[in-house]
Order: sequence, then structure tokens, then C-alpha cells
Amino acid sequence: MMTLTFICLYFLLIFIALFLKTREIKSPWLFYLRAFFPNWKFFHAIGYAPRLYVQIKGADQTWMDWQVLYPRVKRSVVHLFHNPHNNLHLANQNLVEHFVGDLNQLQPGADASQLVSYSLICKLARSFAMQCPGPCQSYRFEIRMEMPQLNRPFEPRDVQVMLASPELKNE
Amino acid sequence: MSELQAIHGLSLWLGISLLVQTFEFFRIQNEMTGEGVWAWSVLRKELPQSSLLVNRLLDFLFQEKIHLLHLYARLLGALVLIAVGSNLWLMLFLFLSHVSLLFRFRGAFNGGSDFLSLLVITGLLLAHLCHLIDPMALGYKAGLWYITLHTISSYFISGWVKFKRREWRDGSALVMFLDGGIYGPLSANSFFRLKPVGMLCSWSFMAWEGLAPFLLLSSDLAVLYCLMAACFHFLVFWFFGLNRFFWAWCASFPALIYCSGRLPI
Repeated sequence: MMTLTFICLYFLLIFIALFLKTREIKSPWLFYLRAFFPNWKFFHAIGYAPRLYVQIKGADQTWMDWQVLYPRVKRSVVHLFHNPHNNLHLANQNLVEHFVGDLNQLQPGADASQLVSYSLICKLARSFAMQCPGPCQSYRFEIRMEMPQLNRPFEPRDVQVMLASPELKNE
Repeated sequence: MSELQAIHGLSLWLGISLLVQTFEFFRIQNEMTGEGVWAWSVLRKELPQSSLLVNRLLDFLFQEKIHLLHLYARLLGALVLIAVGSNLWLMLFLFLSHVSLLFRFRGAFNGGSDFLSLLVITGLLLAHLCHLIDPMALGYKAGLWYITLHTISSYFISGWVKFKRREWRDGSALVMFLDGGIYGPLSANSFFRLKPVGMLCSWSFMAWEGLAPFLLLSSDLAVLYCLMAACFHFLVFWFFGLNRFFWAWCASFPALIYCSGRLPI
């Protein structure tokens, strides 16, 4: 009976905790070890979603159109067993989301370019620029927060630019 | 299902899951070198400076050749899990290996699947440790219950946090998430866009996830729940490309089936 009581209490406590607002504990080590404290909140809320946009300047000094770096691929059953590149795309998108989290925690007036996540995003934008056909002289990126719209996947309800990078030379 | 059968089942499924993960890590090696997005030379600057020893150990582990050796050892470990089963030392190695890979990717490479894999690895490690300490009374039970309670929590929490949101209750969240999936967006005339279908699917998922603790009542119920869970995770893969989630959660099912029906009521 003790075991049953313990299990019932355990799930009751989790249930109550879901409805309580609790303070978020932040620590660099906790961030790295967050797998030990998973919150299991998957796909739970619709809100502003961060997207990385990149613009490339070609050899003729003209800027091309902004392009979004968001994984969209063709489905294959093989991916169930081996899906390295799509998982990498998803990890890169997670990186964009964590970068936004880092930006939100920055003190007013602090320099975002000092963040490690900023350096990683620069690398991500650069890797995209390098894959584009034609020579790339420089590139720049924006982090845009997009509010999705029901049944209009290509037309966000609202877009806000959270960060715009300076022009970055492709060296 | 006996304790030993559950441990063998967990080892087999975890081995498959780790095999899938490790082969994928081999294929993305280029992204982890100096020119790649996930270069350790950049990532290491973020490490907390409080422990020089840990930082040096990570620097050593993440040298390209050492990392490659680590992946080979992990691959071998996964194969041993499948062919022979688990033991204390193998689980200790896989635990340290998994934690180090989490550090390599700022805490997670593939989110939930990393978390659940760690959970199953920790559970098996705990099971072997307890079996070593007290084989008669404790046996492997502590590890099996550890995996079961956390896995059920993952469904329970995931279901109820959705239930709290209006957009999930009216079915619109499902469509918006499916539109945002890696294989998305849905076609303009997809039947998921019909409001009753969206609502029915959303409520089914929320109820199925939120009621997960009831699977403990009987082993038949647990088997049925695990079959439904496998279908659910396959759908998550089908729409969002999260193949690792499928294998990671399947790896926990033997523990759920073992613990179900064993509650003293």
C-alpha cells in the first residue's frame, strides 16, 4: 500500500507543480546538465518562434534576397534508421532558439557578439552562405521572431526583428 | 515478464537506439571540426571556469581523434548491449559517454531523445549497482522503477501542459506545429486542417498522454499502451523527423511492462 500511496502522491505533486509558477534556476553547469532535469514540455505552446535569415552579397556587390534557414526536407522511411543531416538541421534550429534565450538574458547595453552562441550562429550563417551557388563576398543575418498563423504556414501573423548582424566578410 | 527479461529487453532496445545515434554522429563529424558550426574551439569558451580539471578533461576528450575513438568504443558498447546484454561496467562507460556527448552539444543534441536515453542508461546503471549491493531484496527493481516513473512522467507532463493551453484544446496548435515540421507544411487540403479532426486528434493525444499513470494497473494495459506509444512516436517521426525519439522511447517499454501490474493494491 505504501508503494501505491507514494506513486499517487508523486503524480499528484507533478500535477500541482504544473499549475504553479516557479522561479527558474539558472547556472552554466545546470544548462550543460539539463538532461538530468528534463521538463518534458514538448510542442506545448504556440508563440513567437525564432528564425534565422541570411542575406548574401555576391561578387557584383549586390545583396540577394533574404533566405530563411529552416529545415524543410523530403520525407523518407529510411530516416527512421539513419537521419544524421536532418537531426543536425534540428540541432542547428535548437541553437537558434538557445541564442534567443541567451539574448533575452543579456544585461541592457551588453554586447551580444561576445556570446558563444553568437559565434556559433555566425558560423551557421556562413556555412549557409558557402553553400549558395556563386561567389559570396560577405553576408549578414537577422534573428526574426515570427508568430505563426493558422492554415497560412508561409504568412506569419507578426514578425519582429530581434537582432541584425553587421555585414560579415566571407574570409 | 521477469526482472531479467526486462533487463535484457531494455539492453536490446537501448543498444539499437545507441547504434542509430552513434552512426549518425559519425556522419556529422565534419560539422564538429574547426570549420564546422559545432567546433569545440568555439564551444569551449562557454564552459564554466570553476573546474579546470573538468575543462581539461573535456578538451582532451573532444580532440578529433580521441572523439572518433570514443565513438568507435560507443558503437562497440551498443553492439555488446544488443548481442550480450548489459553489465555494470558497460553501463558506467555508456553513462559517462552519454554525458560527455551532451557537453559536446551544449547540453543536448536532439533534446528529448538525449534526455530519455540518459534516463534509460542511468536506470540500467542503477539496476546493476543495486543488484550488486543487494541481489535478493533490491535486485534490478530500483532501476526498473526509476525508468518507469520517469517515462510515465514524460507522457503525463507532456499531456497536461498541452491541456492547459487553449490552442491545444481547440485543435489549432496541432495544425500549426504540423505546418512547422521538418517535413511540413501540411498540404492545403490536408484533413488535419478540418477543425473537428484537429480537435479529435489533439484531445486523443492529451488524454492518452495525461492518463499514462493508469498503465501501471495491469500488464495487458501496459502492453497496449506501449503499442499505442510506438505508433505515436512513429507519427512524431513521420511529421517531425524525430527518429531518435522513436528508438529512445521504445527502449524504455520493457521497464513499463515489467512494473505494470506489480502495484500492491
